Amino acid sequence: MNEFIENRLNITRRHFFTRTGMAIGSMALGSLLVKDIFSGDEGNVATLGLPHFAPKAKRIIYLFQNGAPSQLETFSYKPKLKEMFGQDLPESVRNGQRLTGMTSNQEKFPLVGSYFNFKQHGKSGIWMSELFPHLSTIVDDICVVHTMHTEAINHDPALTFMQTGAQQGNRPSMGAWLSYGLGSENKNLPAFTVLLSRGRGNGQGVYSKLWTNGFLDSVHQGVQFSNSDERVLYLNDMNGLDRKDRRNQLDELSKLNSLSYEKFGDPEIKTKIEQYEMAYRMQTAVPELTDISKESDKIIKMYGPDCLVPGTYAANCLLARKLSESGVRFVQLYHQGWDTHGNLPNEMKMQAEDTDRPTAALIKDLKQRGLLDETLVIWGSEFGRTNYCQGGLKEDNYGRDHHPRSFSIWMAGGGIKPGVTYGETDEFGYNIVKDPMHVNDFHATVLHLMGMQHDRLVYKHLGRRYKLTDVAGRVINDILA
Amino acid sequence: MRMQYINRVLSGISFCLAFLLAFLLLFEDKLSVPGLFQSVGRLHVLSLHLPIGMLVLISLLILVKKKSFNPSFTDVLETSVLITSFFAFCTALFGLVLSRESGYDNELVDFHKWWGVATAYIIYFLSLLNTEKTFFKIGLAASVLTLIVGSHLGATITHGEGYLQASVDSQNKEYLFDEKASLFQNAIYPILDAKCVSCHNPKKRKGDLDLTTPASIVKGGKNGLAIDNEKVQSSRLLEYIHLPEEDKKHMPPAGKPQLKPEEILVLNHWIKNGADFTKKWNEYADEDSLKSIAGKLIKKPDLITYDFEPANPKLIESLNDPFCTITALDINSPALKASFFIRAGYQPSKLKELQKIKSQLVELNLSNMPVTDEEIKNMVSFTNLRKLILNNSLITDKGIPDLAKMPNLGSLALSGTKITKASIPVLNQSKSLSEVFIWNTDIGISDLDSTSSIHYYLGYQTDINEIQKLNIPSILNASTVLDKNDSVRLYHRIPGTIIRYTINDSVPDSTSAPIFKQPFAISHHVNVNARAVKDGWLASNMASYSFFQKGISPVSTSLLSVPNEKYRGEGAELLTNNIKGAIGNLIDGNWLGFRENHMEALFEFDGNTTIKEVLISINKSVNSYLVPPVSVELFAGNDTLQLKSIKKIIPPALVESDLKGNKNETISIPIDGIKNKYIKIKALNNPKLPKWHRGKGEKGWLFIDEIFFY
Repeated sequence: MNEFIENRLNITRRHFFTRTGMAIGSMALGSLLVKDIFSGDEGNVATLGLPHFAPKAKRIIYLFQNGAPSQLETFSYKPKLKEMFGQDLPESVRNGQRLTGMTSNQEKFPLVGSYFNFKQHGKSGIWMSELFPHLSTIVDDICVVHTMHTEAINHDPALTFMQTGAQQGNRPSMGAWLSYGLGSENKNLPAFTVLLSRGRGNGQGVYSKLWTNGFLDSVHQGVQFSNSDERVLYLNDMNGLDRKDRRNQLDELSKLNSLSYEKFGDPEIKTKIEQYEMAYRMQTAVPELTDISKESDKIIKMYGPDCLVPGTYAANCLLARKLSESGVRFVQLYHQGWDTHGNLPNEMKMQAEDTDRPTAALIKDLKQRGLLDETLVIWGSEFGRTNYCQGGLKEDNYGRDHHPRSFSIWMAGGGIKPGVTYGETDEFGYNIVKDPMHVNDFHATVLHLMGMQHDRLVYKHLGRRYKLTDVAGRVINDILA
Repeated sequence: MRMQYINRVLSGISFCLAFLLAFLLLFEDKLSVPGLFQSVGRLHVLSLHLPIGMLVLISLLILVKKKSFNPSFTDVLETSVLITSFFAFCTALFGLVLSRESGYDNELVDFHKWWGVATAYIIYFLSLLNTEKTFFKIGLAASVLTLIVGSHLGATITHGEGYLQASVDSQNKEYLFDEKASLFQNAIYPILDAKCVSCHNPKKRKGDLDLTTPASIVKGGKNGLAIDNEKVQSSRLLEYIHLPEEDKKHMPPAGKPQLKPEEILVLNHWIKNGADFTKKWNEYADEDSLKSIAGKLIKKPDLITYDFEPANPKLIESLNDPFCTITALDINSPALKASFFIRAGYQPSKLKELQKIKSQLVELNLSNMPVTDEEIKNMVSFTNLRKLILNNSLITDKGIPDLAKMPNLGSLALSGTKITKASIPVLNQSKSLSEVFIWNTDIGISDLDSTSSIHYYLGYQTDINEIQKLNIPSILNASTVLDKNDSVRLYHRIPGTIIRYTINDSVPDSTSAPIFKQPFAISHHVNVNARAVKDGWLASNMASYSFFQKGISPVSTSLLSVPNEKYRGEGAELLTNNIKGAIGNLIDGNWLGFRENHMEALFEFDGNTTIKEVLISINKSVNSYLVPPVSVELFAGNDTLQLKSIKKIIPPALVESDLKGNKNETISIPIDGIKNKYIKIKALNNPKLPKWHRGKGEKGWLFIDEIFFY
């Protein structure tokens, strides 16, 4: 069968109505109304009605600490664990929690406290370990949530859950939902960008399904920036081709693509046309943004010298600020290396050395530009780490396995109450005793801050209405300013 | 026949009831309901629905009558009217009993009573009329009318005034937080209004209590004082809300929306603190427990409400372009925000165009745009502008007076601009500014006036006591395998940094090692160790780069032994493709790994080029079993079957100190210049790791990424 006929046969009912709906619309007077009724393209309908209410935050920078940094060495101060060093985790505390394959054969679960010392900081008196000397200077600007919890216990499903609201994959990522709901503020840049970096600790993979558009149009997909000096590849004009030629070339290409769209009706062709146009505008926008040759001494000292080396966490933090300042709705960073099953004190130290200064710098930098109140910064991971040791236990060397029941994240800026903590865990740092915040609640709260009601940001796919929060999630009002 | 009999009986009963009702109405004052009958009154709310339904039915019957006339139809109609009349009287009588109960607004009940009675009697007279007559229809219409008025009044008694409209708008009734209003108005009254006032209002005073005004709250109800400041514990309000829900006196009554625990807590605190109706929100101290509990309940208005007219959506659309985005704050807001992007696309005329939305514009972001003082004049007419970002723009002190005059500007970002301390007094004159961002300007903390109500953000200041370590120098060369004319190019990304380096495998000293000034060429192979140095910074760690010069390319390369199946890359070709493998990443496709077999490879040349050196590059990481070969032997000749051994070298034996490190190492084999067509290299893998190794006695691994011929 030739492709043309095949395509005709593949046109779904929805497509059919979309197209006939448009045809009727162009004949009728108020095409908008008719289009709404017949159109399967709920994307347009959604963007017309958004934001639902005035947003507190306009943009998000999500500093994802991939691999799960231990909450017990960073934000969750549990002196009891030090007292009970080496003693077995009481079964009444573990209470049937399933274990990963890595520790399920372990005969004992010896408790171990933080190797690093804790202190209270700032006016708010938030506890923080000595691993983060720079972050501790800005505790009064952040809100630490101690009671994040998830169902997943292994990296892949947990990461996928955190980023897409489902463990199985193929759902749109948070950034894609925001792009779908709010669109791009700056039409010369994608609404959703992804920056990757790798630390010196034990790493876990990151994969493009974490920034997928899922069933949404592919324009909402996260655009991954390269870690070379040319941060977006293939944007330079070819030798001997100037910008005007490029324009002509794209115009002709667009005509051909439009013809093809007329014939086959595949919405991906439209996406392609839009992407070419975006790339053309990015040719001007990106070099202006990614040029780091003129950064001031102040900026270099603030973010640390690595901020000039593409592909480092520091450089990504700096670029994240620039992208966000230029209207990119969602900048997603992933920093690998936090999967500390063994050799935890050493690895945590290296990881903290690489990330502490740039993270704090990002908050300070947004603040001094008057942008922190409209930018939501999130620092967090996919789950936490156990209060007992995995593998060999020494006072100064131990490991921790995955722990889904409670872990700490923090947020700052746009609409977040500064200088507070939310939720409490027990003295073992194992179970939540007050104010839990589930992954779905986290998503609902983030969408709320962006001016969207999480149960109204929907997309119909395969006969079912999908949401980032699926059928759960509640906004945690206590952390809202 | 039976129908007529029934009609006659019903008619008789209705007559009696009509008489009874008239009698009771006449002597209402003297009426006292015996205990047994009291609950009969409650049947009112049940029976009232029957006459309503019946009247609707009769009206419908009349409407369809003409088309299907049948004698029995009249009978049905008459019976229906009689049944309606019977229930109308019942309802009226029950209602009369119910009205004796207290707790209702008397005036309203009176109205309802007379309209209800009128309805009952009109229906009774209908039953006496001939259904064929026009008069019947007029009577029917009259009964429907009185019924509507009467039942509406009844509904008002039950559900409260304005119930009909309420379903539409008062669900979203929101109390706007006002700091200057009383705590009562901000936090207490909204609770009462949501949960109590529907039964305790001037119209429907259940328990003779009205909770709508401070005065009526103080007055209390028939069971005593709602709030007793003398004896707090006997405040009825507190008592009833704390009773268990099963208790009859528990408030709000079971089945109605209940108070949340935090609402009870707030009411409790407020009453125990003396139930102050007038003390203003901002008169309470921040740490006051009542205020902090109440603070959690109220929704503070995080947003200013804008009451100006929205701009035409088409106009907004036409003003949008790729370099300037204008959007509403949210879907329902008339307020607009505008953001400019891309310095190269900035056009000063755009700000003039924005005059068309000058009264709607509340936020303007011109971050990084080359905006000059001249254009500030165009902004003065943005009278509703609240937030303006001019970071890294070209404005100077000359633009500030205009900005300070803007009537609603609250937040102004001037970071990275040329403004000086001369602007501070000018900004302080502003009546609306609350925050100004001046990071990365010449203004320092000593230039600020501490008495100003404006919060100036100075941002990050470099700490001269903090000395950071530089990061390592990097190379500009695309690859460490250099073309013939290429040279080593070291560089550091931080301007003004000096690079000191060595090429003799020694550690470069941060003060005395040679300074890298210009690219230098190499011969065959060199290890460059380099360090970055700069005033005000600690010297960087040492960076090591192993540079190779491209050598003589063989015509072909073939393997004579089989590498381990996991580490084969693209095969023999990778040995001479001038692409180095990454140290430690043995599966990057640039490494050949040998363990079971020795390495043996054959290289074919054109036969005219003289070769003087063979250089083998390996990955050495002794602790991870990656060890150098125990011997390397070279064979040469012009016929593959008759190759002769020309050189054999034995690299130094492993010592325990080799355990440290994971690096690129080279094995150089100088030979007398030969011009043979073939060279074969045989490297023997370490068959037995030494006894100090964790894998003592096992075979080692030999990893080779490249072989150069010079």
